[in-house]
Amino acid sequence: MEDLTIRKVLNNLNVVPEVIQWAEEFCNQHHVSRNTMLSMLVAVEEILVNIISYGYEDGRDHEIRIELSCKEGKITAAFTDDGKPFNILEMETPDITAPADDRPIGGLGIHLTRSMMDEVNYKREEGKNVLILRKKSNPSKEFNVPPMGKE
Amino acid sequence: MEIQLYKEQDVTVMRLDGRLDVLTAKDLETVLLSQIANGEIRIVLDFEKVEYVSSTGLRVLLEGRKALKPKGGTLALCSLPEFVESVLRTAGFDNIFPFYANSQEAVGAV
Repeated sequence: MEDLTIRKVLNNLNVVPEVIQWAEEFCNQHHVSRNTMLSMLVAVEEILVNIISYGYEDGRDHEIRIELSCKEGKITAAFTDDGKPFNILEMETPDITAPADDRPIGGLGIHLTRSMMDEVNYKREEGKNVLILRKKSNPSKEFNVPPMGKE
Repeated sequence: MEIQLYKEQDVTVMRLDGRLDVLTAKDLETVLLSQIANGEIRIVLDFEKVEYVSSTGLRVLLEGRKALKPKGGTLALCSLPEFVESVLRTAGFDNIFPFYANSQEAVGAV
C-alpha cells in the first residue's frame, strides 16, 4: 500500500519550517526510523532552500510542489519546480578533505543530500525540474557514501 | 535555538539546544561571532541537545573558525549525537574541528 501526501509552497524561505514539520509528521506516521527521518529532513531542507535561493531570478512568486510517499519500506520525496534547470547529479562533489580555508561555501548541502539518500533521480520535464529522493526506512546503515575524511 | 553560555578555565562553552537549520543558524552566528569579537578565542560548542544540523549550520562553524584563525583561537565541538556526527563527518568537518566526547574533555584540550 502506498501512502502519499502533497504540499505546494511558494518560493520563500519562510515556508521551510512548515515543510520540515509536515515531513517529520509524515515520517512519524509511517514509523520511519529516527536517523532515516533526520536524513530525509536534512535532504528536504537542503533541496528546498536550494530551489528557493537559486532557482529563480525574476523576483516573482513561484509554486514548488513536494510529494512525500511511503511504499514498501521506502520513503520518497519528489520536488517539482519551474526554476532554472538544475541537475544536482551533475554537480561536482566538493573537496571535503581540503583545508578549511579552501572549502567552497556552496555545494555542501547538495553533497549531504546525495550522500544521505539511497537514490537520487532528476529529469527536466515540460519546463520543470523534477527531483526524486528516496531512502529505505530501515537501512542497515544510515549513510550510503562513506565519509572521505579520516575515520 | 537556545544558547547557554558559561566559562570554564578561560574557555567559553556554548551549550546549544534545538535544531541548527536554515532558520536558527543565524542565532548561533550572532552569538558565536560576537563572542569572538569580544576577545574570546577558546570556544567549545556543546552539541548534546542538537538533534539536527543542515549545511547552513555547518557554514556558521566554518565562519567561526575563520574569525578565530587570525587570533590564534580554537573552536572545538563536543557531545555530538550520532546523527549530527554523521553529518559532520560526511561534510569532512572531522578534518577541520576537533571532536570531544564531552565538555570537560573539550575544555581541558583547547
